[in-house]
Amino acid sequence: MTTWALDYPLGRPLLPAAQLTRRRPATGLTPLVQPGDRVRADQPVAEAPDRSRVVLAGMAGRVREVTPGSEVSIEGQVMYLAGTLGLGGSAVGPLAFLARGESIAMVAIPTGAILVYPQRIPLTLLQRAISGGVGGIIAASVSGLELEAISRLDLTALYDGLIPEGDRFPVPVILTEGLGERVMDAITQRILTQRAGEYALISGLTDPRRNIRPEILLSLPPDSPVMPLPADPALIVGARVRVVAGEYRDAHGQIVQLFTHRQRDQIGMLTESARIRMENGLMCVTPLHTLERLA
Amino acid sequence: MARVVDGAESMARAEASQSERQTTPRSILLIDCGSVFTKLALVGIVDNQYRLLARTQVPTTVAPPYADLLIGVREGCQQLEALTGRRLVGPESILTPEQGDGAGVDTIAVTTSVGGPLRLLTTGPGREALAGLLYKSLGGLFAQPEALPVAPVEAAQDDPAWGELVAQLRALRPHAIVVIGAPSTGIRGAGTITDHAQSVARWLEVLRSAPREDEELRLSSLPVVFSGTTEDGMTLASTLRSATAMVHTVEQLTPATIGPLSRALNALYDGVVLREAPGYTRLRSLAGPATATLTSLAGVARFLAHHYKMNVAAVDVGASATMLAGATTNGEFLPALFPQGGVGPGAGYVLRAVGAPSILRWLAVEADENIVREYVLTRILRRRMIPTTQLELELEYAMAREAIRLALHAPGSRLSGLHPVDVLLATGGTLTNTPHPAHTALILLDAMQPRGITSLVLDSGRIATMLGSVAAVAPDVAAQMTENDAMPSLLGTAVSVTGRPEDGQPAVRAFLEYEDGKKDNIEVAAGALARLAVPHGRRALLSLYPAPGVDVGLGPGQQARASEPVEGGALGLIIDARGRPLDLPTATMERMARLREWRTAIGIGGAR
Repeated sequence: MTTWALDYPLGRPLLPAAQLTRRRPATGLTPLVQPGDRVRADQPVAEAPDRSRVVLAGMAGRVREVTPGSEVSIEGQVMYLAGTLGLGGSAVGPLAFLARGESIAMVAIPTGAILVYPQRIPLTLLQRAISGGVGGIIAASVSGLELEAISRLDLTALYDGLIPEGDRFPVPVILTEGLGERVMDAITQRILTQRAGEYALISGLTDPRRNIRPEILLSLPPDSPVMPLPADPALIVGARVRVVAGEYRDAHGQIVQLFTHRQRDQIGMLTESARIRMENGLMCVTPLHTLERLA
Repeated sequence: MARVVDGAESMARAEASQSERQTTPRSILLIDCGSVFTKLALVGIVDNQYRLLARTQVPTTVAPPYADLLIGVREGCQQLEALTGRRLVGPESILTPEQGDGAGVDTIAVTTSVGGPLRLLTTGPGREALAGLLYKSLGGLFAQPEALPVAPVEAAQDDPAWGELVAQLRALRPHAIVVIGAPSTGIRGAGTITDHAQSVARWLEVLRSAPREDEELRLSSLPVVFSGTTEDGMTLASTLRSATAMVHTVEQLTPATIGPLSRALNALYDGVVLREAPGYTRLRSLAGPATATLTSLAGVARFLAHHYKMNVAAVDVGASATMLAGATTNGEFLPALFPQGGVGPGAGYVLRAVGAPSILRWLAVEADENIVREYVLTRILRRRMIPTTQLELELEYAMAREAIRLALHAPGSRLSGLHPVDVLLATGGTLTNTPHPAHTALILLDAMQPRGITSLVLDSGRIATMLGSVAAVAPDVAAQMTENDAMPSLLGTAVSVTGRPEDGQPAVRAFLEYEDGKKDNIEVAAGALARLAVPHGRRALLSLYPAPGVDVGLGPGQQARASEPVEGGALGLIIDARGRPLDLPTATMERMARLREWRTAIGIGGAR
């Protein structure tokens, strides 16, 4: 018996190498590229006639389509990381971390960069980052009320599709783990740390009804081998998974057994469950609905 | 009311004639396409009775990455194959009819709530005057009516109020506009049909202009359904000729003609809501048109009410919708629906409708609004997730209580006035998969607040919502299944008293006399909840002695002795002397202490 983890539009929250096409909005701008051109992630693909505004490619690859005054479509090989929820539209910039050991009230804000904060981001820092001109924010988590306060949105209404203002938030914000007090997943943090300084294309657009998730795209060298899409989301024996809720939240491991019958979980509910061998070698039984497939 | 019954009877006749055209099915595959899970059940003949052979559920595949309903259905079939050893799926599709070697099934019946309700904007000169009839015509349909205000003749584009109204209506993502013509009797309608036709034309134009990307196609041809006279219908069609592709006119809405509008809207549900779901058209070609889950649940409630000659209410708290279906002994059908609110992705609708304090009041542990909001957002974002901690469980059941109350008191609902409710059937994943059956009983008592004597019954097979669709193709099968599998688990018998005794007196004394002569009794104070265990398989006669001023269902102070013995069940006899309406203390600590007392009394272990 198998079941699926279907929370992500491409099948999994992390794809080491995928071929994707993304449209870069260029409303009112003049294209600088033509279909077939190869582009770098930090390369301008459109600009305003007075050069006051420039749109960067965001991902290395090939220009597929150019609609003058509207958009430039680019296809490339990328590493894909999906967030849990987000706000705002898309942005391009180098990944940047805050200097260690400095107070968040005083630390220098990397203007124009995509700020990575691998913990719960405090309201003060969120405000400083936005007013300080970051291109975007990737954080592990945030307080729900604080995010609603700064966005001045009822997020339940936003994600129910009742208000269209989500993409009008001044900068894209991506929360990799979600709301509450969460630290960034170890794999995600490692990847972002390794790619610090490199350009990323991020999108905060989130629409759970259509399973649209915020995303982080990190360019790969041309002609990197890519995996077919959608990636298989089946929770099967041997699959590498991470636990996103419950007693073993944040643990990584491998499914070693899928139970034929439902098991009682820690609060006494009967749930379809799997036995997981965690990275520390211990075994645990956890409900399937708490699992995300990584590989 | 008589016409509603007539409608039900004519539907039953249609179902019967349809079944006569078919041979008796040897096997049936029931498919319930929900907003989060696709549930499947295999029904076959065991000892000359239709019985549930196996059931399973898989996450719905209606959204990306698969965006095809049928992939989930096929996966579910394969799981049923693994559970039963019976082949159901061929190289191309589900095998039907049943093969000589027992593979496949004779009949496939589909229920669904996928795609959400049919969202209707209602207007017209008769909308207010005929609101009661409009709601009756919507009874049993998975529909969400919203009032469409009259559009001003010259709306200023830069008027913020107008812009906000347009944004709100767009956000509703309507499927159709329903125009109710002026009533034919002496009641005067509001405005003329010409006024309303021009208003609808303006709305269609506004909704069509600059729509959101995903709505472009649908809003550009929003259908209009008109119920009224032919002459008014022509006026409307003429005004809307250039504004919409379709104006469907049905008979004028009167107590005698509820059916035509109901049928037109049901067809619209199939045509515009379900067919938008990727893969539905192919599923439809296999199994025929799907039945809305509410319609199906209504069929089960009606069957039970008719069969047992009792008032029945079925309760299904879903992930994205909450559905109640009441049916009375005389055949009256009382649906109640909160179409977009549930405990999963629909939790946001519940929270916005009642506010965080209404959720928090059901919690026996300390929490604040931020916790509620974060939980609700997590449920919206992680659609498959169910509670994993005690706090999340508390929040889930608090949401369930409020979702039921919202459905119970929704516009057009008459179920809240049904007394007594003799049988309360709990179905759906939320109410049937609880850590202890007492959770289900307490949710039902808190939210439905029945009066008098009520049998609390659990659909432990979780197939009640599917059975109404079987009734359309094989009524006998539905009847046998309902008796054998949909209602096998009696949670307990609840006695809910109203009124207050004089100070110091118990509200009610209950006596149980078992068949072997053993006796048991309990005194319950006002404001308390108590339980007297009646083991499975035991039966006992119940006598109730209320204090003066306290009503156990027969009038204040009237004693009661049940003519039928109380059956043993998971919980036995529950005496709910908390009063009606149920008042929760306003002081937080006192309220939490009271909630813990009630939980302990009903048998929920570990209530802190």
